[in-house]
Amino acid sequence: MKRNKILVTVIATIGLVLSCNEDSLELTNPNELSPDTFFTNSTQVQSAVNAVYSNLQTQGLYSRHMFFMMDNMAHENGGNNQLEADKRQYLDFSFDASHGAIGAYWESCYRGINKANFVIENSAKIDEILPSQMSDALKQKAIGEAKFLRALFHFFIVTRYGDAPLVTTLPPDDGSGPGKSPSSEIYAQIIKDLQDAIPVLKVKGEEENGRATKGAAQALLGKVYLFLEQYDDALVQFNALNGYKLEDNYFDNFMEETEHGDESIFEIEYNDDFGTSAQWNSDRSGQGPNEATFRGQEYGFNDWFNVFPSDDLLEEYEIGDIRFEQTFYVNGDTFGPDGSLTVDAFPSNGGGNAGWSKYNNYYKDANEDQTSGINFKYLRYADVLLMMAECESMRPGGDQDVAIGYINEVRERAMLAPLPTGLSKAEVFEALVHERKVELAGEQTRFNDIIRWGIAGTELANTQFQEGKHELLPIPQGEIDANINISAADQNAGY
Amino acid sequence: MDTQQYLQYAQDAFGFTPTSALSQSNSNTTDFQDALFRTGVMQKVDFGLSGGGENNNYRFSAGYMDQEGAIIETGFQRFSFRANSNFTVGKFNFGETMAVSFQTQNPERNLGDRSLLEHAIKAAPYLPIYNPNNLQGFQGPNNDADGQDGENPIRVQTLGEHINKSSAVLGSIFGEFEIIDGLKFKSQVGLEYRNANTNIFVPSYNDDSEGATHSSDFATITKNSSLRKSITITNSLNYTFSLSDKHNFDVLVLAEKQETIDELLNSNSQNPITNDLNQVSSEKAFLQSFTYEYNRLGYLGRLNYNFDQKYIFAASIRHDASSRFGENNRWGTFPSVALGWNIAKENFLTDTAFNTLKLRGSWGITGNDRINNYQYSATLLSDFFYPFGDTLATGTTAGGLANPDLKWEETTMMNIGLDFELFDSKLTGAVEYFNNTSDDLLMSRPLAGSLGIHSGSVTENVGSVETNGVEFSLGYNDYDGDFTWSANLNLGTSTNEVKSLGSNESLSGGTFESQDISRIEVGEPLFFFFGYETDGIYQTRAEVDANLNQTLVDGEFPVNPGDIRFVDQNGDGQINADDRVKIGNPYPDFTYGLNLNANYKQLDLNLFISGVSGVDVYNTNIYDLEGMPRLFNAGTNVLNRWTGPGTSNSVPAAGGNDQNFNSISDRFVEDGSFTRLKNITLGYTLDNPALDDYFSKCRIYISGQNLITISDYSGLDPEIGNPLTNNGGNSQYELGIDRGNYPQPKSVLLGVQLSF
Repeated sequence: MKRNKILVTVIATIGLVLSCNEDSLELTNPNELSPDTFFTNSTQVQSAVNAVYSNLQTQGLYSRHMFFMMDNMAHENGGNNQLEADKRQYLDFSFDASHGAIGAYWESCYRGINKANFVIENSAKIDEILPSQMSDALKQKAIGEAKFLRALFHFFIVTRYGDAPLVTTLPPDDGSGPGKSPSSEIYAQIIKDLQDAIPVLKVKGEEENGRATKGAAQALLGKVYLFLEQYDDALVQFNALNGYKLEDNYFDNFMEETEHGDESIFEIEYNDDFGTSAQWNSDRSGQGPNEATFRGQEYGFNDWFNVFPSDDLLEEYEIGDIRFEQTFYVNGDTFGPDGSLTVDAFPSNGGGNAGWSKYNNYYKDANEDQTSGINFKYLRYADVLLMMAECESMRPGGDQDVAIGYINEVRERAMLAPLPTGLSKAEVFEALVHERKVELAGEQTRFNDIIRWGIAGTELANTQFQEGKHELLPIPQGEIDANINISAADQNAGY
Repeated sequence: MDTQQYLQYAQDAFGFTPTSALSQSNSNTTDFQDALFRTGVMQKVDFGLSGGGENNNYRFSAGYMDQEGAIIETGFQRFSFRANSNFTVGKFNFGETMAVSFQTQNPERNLGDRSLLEHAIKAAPYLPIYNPNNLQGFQGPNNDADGQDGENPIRVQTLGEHINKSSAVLGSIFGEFEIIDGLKFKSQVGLEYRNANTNIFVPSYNDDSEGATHSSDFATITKNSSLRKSITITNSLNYTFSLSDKHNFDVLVLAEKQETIDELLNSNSQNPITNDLNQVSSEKAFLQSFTYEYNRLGYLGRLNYNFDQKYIFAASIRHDASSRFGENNRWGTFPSVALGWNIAKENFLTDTAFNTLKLRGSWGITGNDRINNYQYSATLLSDFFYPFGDTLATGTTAGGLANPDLKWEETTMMNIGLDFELFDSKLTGAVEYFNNTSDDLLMSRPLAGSLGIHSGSVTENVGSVETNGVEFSLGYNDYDGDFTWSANLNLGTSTNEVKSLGSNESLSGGTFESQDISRIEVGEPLFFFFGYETDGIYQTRAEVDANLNQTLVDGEFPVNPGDIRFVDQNGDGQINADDRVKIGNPYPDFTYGLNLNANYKQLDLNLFISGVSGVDVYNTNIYDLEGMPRLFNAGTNVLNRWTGPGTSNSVPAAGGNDQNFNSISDRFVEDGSFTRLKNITLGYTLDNPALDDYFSKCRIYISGQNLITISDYSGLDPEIGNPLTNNGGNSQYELGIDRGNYPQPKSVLLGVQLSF
């Protein structure tokens, strides 16, 4: 009997130990893929490239803040009473380093850059995919798209923040942040990335709508050279563009149904049929379905109507410029389904005398319903023509009459009389300032223009713009707090 | 504000009067808060049955509760059943517990990142709640001047439905065998099974047939479900024996294994055709599923020894592993030791007033693995989307930095205390001092934004924090005679201080409008409030000029009389991030509680009072009530705003400098001290012989919860309930922040208690 008891005790003790099998502690996340086993076929490579594009749709960029930031700082907009403080601060130049959306803009760009680096830095793995699974041309195109987008995001950064981190590698294991690089080095990397992209990207027409094309990379490289005042280099790129022309109808650039027309070079894509459930929480990640922009809802005179086109912008238009009525609504215009409604909204409570028509859905709908699927034309041929005019006029030995010819192509579509030949360089510049202001109104280009021309101080004389400070945004406070290699001493001047 | 006040305020502060064809007359005001809140009714029935014999005992119970919430269309319903039993057959002992519950909840609905309360505060009072001309019959704001943020809260809360249903089964079964006298082997299996469903249906609506500021031309259907299965197996050997009648031993060895799996499925879709179908379909559908596993393994050895109940010694050691840590640091070892001396048993204290006098002390280490699963491994995310042509493409990218070195957070706990009972145990009490130091704190560290890492932060063992304090309790009870009573008082005070944060200067806690409200810094308590200090309102231009160096741009200064005077801590004439300081502490100086019981014949009375003192609350509701960023309805305090020198030194001018309302400042920090009558119950036990045939006891009672609260706090409830936002699963980040949290309701309960 005694022996039995000992036996039971031994069995019980063994049972105690055996019940614990350590294998159960070794878990892998069943919800997410592991980076170790990724980049093994073309679908995976393409998926990693797609993720880079999605960062263009964050609230910090084109879903919400890009247009407010750029159009307000340029004072193409005035604010109505209900304009939220963070967006009014763009008008008043009263933002500081703790501004949430300035932080979201910064992180949206760097998350895009990191996603691009995820593709580029894995190129060795991509190369190992069998050619029967993915052709060399497709592999190179994937890297090329990532480089185009890395250049674009770095360009968004360098134009708004000046010297800033230049990130071309994946994050280090210890998570330490990168220090600032001089803007000249950032520009050099942008140029290199675009030069790498141009020969491997497909041309428009052979590529899916929305993807980076050879023409998009050439036009962006030309624009970057123009910002660096390397006019001859810019013209080489612009002249290499092939197959683009102006739309017959100016407004075709701003309707959902006529996207990717002849004039379109690179667009920021939206399509509200594809889901909007993450629209409110994608402020910097681009995660989830956020395939609509708030642009229509925020600007629309029959919706939130936070901003209106400023009187200064309205007064810029010449008599007979058909772009006025295609860009704005005034009282008495018709809108909505079949033009069944009549505008009666002005003056607005903030003193606005017109409302935006460009990038609004009122040509077909009475309301925006918060979700607009209209793409932003980041680069279109009219912009290129005006940039070519600028390069030609500005380059040593440039022919002013050739420059005027480019401007007149744009004016002709606007039903305006051509500029006479024989204008001086200064007169051509004045014509360019005017023509870019009206042709590209509300397209997030004017603020960069007046900054790079060095005329923001005079153009924004009646605002709180301070020269030497507001050309750049403050580096976000969160970056200074979390990055051991960037301190308060690295903050941009005046902040 | 009522309509008249509101329209006057709009005119004076913002320079125009919002009107609408639907405007009610000035004397007619819609009180949205009044329409939203109500007095709820609660019913509760509990039934229990227990019994047993020499070799078995059992208890069965059932309960039903139906509680209406303090907000319309909120409520909670629960059915619950329990059964416990125990059988002894010779040397074998078996038992089981089983609990089943079914719950249905109609929660408070929030929308657009805004609480229902915020909608109710901001809604324009000149508009009616209902308008039969609009689709679904509600009237939303229709003036673009004040019509954006504040949606009709009644529509938000009542249109369609939001139902959370859950069911849970909790059970365990054990068998125990006594091998020899005092040596028992026990094996226990515990099961947890929980199933929860969320059903949300919002039909298409249009709150304004003219402007359609708030409308939806499709119905939205959401169905989410979750399932948790958890199994815990415990085997133990326990040996209890005595030597020489004075040396008493209790030895335990135990092994335990826990496996938990959670499965989630989320789905939603839209229906533009009809409001009659409450089912998800493929129309603009979004589908997602997740599986989370969490496993633990542990061994425990424990020895309890006492000599004649006089000298007490205990020691234990645990060895635990968690699947939440990587292979290198999966196991943690946690020892503990305790000593006690029951002085009352010593000869020199026998026959004195002391019934108990016990000095005790302990030291031990505990481990914490409360982080999300899989933090040690690098993963990819595949829910990035971008439309190309006519197709939506899916994107995949890296989720975040892996931290394979994650390990257990360890808390070293030390305490020393004295328990006493005097005068036939009429007077009882205890004093205890404790000191807990947590090392390798598991926290998420924000990463530099320029790294572009999707997760934005990494979970690390970052530092240490020390908490120490004193707890004191004192009780008196008198159980003799017809009138018996007892009183128990407890007091506690503790402080905590962050000792190290590794390489980090600070970590963010809760945030508001992208700015830190609270943070963690070395030398300060956890989650202290951080922001600008204010010093009244600038009354004159001269005061502004004396404090700030401002440049005049286009004839305007950013800061003017009527703006808040923020304290320029570094005296550089600028108010910027460098001027932020500690502006509050969410931990109380003191907590206290008082429990009083009295019985007189058939009457019984119980009172429970609790409170805290010296605690700060960050009240974000003030932003909506008196922030005045843009025109919305607000609290009546905006009528007392600054309108000229000497008019106010607390509420700034409307539409002033953005920093007035945009900055985290002590303007929003309030004293959250309170004393609350948590419970009062008065009962009467019927003593009628006619009832004795049916019931062994029949008692009727009335009780009230939270009936009286003494506090200077201006928000709904100083005892802040559950946080509205869940900061990455880390609700402690919301400590002390009131975002319009659902208040603890006052309630009155009338009850009958019957025993058979």
